[in-house]
Amino acid sequence: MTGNGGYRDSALRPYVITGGKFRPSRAALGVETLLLRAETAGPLPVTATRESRALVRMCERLLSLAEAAAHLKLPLSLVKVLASELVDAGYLVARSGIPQAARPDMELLQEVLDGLRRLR
Amino acid sequence: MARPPSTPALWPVAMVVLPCAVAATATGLLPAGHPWAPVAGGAGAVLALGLLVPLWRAYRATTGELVRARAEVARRKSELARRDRQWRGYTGRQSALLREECAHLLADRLPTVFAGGEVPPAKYRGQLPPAVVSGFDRLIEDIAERLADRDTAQRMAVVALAGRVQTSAHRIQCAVTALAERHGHDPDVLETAMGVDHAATQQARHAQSLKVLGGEWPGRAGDEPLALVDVVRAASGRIVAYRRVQVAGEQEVGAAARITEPLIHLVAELLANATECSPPGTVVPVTVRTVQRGAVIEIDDGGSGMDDNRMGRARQVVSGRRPVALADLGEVPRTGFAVVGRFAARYGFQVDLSHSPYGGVRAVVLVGRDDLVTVAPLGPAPAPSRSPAPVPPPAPARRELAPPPGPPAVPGPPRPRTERSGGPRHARTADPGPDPVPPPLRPSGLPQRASRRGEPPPAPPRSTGEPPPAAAHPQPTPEEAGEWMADYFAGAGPDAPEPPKG
Repeated sequence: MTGNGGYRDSALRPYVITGGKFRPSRAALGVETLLLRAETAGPLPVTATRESRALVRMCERLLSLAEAAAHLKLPLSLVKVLASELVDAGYLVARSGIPQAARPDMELLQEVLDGLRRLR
Repeated sequence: MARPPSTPALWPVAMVVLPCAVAATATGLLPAGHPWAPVAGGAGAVLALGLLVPLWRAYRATTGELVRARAEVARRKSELARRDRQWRGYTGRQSALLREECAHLLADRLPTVFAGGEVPPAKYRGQLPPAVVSGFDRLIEDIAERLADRDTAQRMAVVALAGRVQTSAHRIQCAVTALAERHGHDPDVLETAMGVDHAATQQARHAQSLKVLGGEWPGRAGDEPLALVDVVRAASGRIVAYRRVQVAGEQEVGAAARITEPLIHLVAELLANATECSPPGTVVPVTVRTVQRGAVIEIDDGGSGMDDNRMGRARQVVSGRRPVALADLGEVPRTGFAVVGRFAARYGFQVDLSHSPYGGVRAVVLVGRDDLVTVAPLGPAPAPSRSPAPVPPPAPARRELAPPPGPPAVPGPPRPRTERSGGPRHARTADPGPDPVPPPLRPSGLPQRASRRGEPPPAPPRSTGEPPPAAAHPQPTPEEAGEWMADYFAGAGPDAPEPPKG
């Protein structure tokens, strides 16, 4: 298998990783979409792939799709398909944009401002 | 031959009568009363007797000769008859032996030559003329030699042609992989590209099967260990009905890099058989589990199974006990089991078939402990690691499996342990006792993950100056986030290579 222009195929072909699906069921998923493991989700089925298991495990903490792809060392288009399926099956929750929790709280900002002013 | 009448008794009579007659005649020639008459008679008798005695002697000598000659003739005749009988017997026996030797040659020796087996020796080596035996032997040697030459030439040709097909299949895969990378955002292109990839992957597998049957082995070892579940998935990518294969079982037991390619190919052939021999709509369940001697991959199909005869033959073939060559495949070649057997014999995998509880055939591949490694789950380590690794995802661990502990202290199959580099396992200190066996195992043999909810937040990173791993920080620092996004956008350009896996 050598001598074919330095081509080294990966053993796991992309169509196997996605189970033959190439259209993410959720078009809304983008690189910046944040994923989080659903609180109510049970354990993954025994036939879950290593990629899906890793995805769900990584999303115990909020994780962007781009980060997930980098961790899995997979093309973004494939991870998008995998993530959409997990969201559909209820294992992950997708959040678009900056999540509410991460946004600075106005009251907190006000308190910080007040505190700073008191320092003077 | 009529024997002349024996006349020995006549001789004395003749010897008396004839001299008397001569004497009488000589006496009678003279006038009666001649004084010379008795003298003449006596002289005549003596003369006659003198003539008769040599004649008699000659007669006796001749007769004796004759008797001896006759006896000699009779002896010779009987000798001749004996020799004739002997010769007939000998030639009869020889021709019978020769016939049998020829039959042996045609029925046993030549077929064995053509089958390429150990040729039995001549049956009557000591009894037939050496020239005949060695002639037969030479004939067989010549045939064997020519057959071997032709077989080698054919195999080399097949291997070379298969190699070309395989190379071209890999070029196709290479091209569509590049296409998919460039147009990854377009599902239509992606779908078509992957369809082409799938077809090319199968083509490469068929070509490699031919090469293996032609006696050449996959030259390239895999780059890195592959989890057995992924070996099965990679194998499923090489058959038509990859969507029907469902893999379950141990996630962390992996095949060492050197055996990934042969193992994938072997499992692919078994999966091809399983999917082709079961109804199109059915699932082919595959289970990976560790056992005392290593790990097994079990493939079940819901087909109609095999009768005992076929099963017996197939078991011999898949186990490698009965090698099948290219020439033995026949007009409708069934290469799958033959290839499995070749790989099994070469790499020491134990492959066996049995009747499956699903109704069809269960194929079991046992991979020995020496060929196994433990692979870490994908992605970053699950526990907050304090090792100052700047890039979160660690390379898969490549530790060889430790020998199994004796009777396991916890229920569940013995499973390989992975020691993670890095800090102590969190939340495990409550486990009393010096028992080094860590966390309870689930029935699947996987470690039980503890929920982190309710735990105190991870300690702040030590001031080592290096960026801590991302997994430990749900909310990365602005610098980290900046690096991430920079890396991401640098990697997402149209000319960027696919992440290392592809």
